[in-house]
Amino acid sequence: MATLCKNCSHALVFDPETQKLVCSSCGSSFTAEEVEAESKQYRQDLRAESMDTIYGETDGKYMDCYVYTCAECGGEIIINGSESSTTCIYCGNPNVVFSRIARQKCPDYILPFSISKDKAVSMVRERLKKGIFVPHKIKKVNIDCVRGIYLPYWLVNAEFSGAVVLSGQVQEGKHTRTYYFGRAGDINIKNLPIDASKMVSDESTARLEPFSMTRLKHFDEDYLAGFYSNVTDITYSDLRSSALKRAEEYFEDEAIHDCHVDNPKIIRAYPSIKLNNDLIYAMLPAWFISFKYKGKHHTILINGDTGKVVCGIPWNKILFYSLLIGLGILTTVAAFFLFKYTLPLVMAAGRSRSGSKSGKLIAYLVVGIIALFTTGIRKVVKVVKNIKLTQDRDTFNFMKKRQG
Amino acid sequence: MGIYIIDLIALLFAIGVGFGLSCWIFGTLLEKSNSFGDNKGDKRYYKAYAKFSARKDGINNTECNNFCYSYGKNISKDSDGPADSEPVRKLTDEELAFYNHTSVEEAAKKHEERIKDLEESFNLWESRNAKGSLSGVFSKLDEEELNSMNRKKYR
Repeated sequence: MATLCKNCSHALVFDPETQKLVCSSCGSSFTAEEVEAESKQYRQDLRAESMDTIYGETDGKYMDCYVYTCAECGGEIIINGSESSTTCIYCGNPNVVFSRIARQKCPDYILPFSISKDKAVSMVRERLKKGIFVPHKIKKVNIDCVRGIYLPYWLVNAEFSGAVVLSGQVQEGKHTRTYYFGRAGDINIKNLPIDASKMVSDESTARLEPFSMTRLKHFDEDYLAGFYSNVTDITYSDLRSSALKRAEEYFEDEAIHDCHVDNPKIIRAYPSIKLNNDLIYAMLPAWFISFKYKGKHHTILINGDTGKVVCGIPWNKILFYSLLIGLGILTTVAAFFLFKYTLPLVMAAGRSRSGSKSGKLIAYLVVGIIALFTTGIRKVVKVVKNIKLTQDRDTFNFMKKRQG
Repeated sequence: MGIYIIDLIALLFAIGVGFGLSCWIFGTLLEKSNSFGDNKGDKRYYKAYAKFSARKDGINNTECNNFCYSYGKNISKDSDGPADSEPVRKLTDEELAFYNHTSVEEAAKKHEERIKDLEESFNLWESRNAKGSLSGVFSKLDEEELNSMNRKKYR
């Protein structure tokens, strides 16, 4: 189950910085292509046994868990039904389940990790350090667990056809009127990556994009050494609905831009998608970093290729609200004196001929105030939504359940 | 009395402007401080540009109801492939030929073209990287992508 060093027979691990397989025992390094082809043919899995069989359970208590034996130390390796590489908890050596990436199941391409574990952790720490509202405890938090996982993706070519009706406001002289617009058309999508794992939410994995597809390599299991990986476990129905959702977002975005209106809102939609059956299977890298804060697990995702950090961090509410209220009071006092002396002038003008102009000024002021509040609140809601995604239990379990 | 009403109105506006401005400033700061990577893959990476076949502006209520049915096409019914409940897998050339109603040779040729199409970008990247002309991780934008971005910029 492991790729061994030609010089000392110790297990090799892929190093993102040198992009080579490195032996921690004798220091030798090899490219994936250099590892002898013939040795790969003889690497076979020891027969895996279901945990239900081992523990004599008939009710499927240990459903989808399999026991393998570590090639290095003979220790027990427990993995679930979709994992394809892991690390032995006893000797720390990488193990790849070759039968899960064999023949038809073998990915076409792999994007090797470019970001090392240390770099990923330091990137996260740097980000946290810069945050004004990141609580002090989080800035100095102990990171529980760091896992480098190759996520399975299907690269999809698809045809999308859509028709939408949207409403939007158009300025007509002094007034704003709401109109309805219809747009219909097609999109041809090329190599859209769709997350092929049921265990991580599509919302989280889509935020890891973009991956630099130009740096994809032909799949070689040696790239998996030292990292965890999963194989595809989604159905055609899952694939179609994920692709449809993404294509619909692109189409609606273009339709909105095409209409040139304010406050656009999609009111009717008729989307349809046709997937090309010729799919490309690729493994793309991501770091999962978890920490515990106030009893909740938070999982930060990092694109293992570009280093894009994806997370929402709980904020220091006392600092945030005290600053907000403080600045609010200060600006209110300043604005009060400004309005106290300007409003009588505006109202006096209202009684004279230029009344419509002063009315307009007040209307603009009211609209401006509403816009400030809604934009501010919308941003806070966005942060809260992102925090919830970081606290997602499924993502945490996806990472935590791996041994190592 | 009149003075008091003006003061009251001034106070209401001042509270609105003061707390509205504060809400906007701190909402923006919070977003920058505590939320990272809140965007998905842009359409230009997947060449997902819409080609509109029908545009109708200022339509009325009845047309609103009919527009989607008149112009929407259900193309998913034309697609042939493995059953929805089946796990996604790589199809063999024979299966691709069967589902796409072509010959095995044709299916194999199309598959090769699909791979070649993807790999051409690898080669382009490698050659530009070797020449040291790579400005970033991603390949240079083509004319269409640039136009699309500029449209967005000046809108």
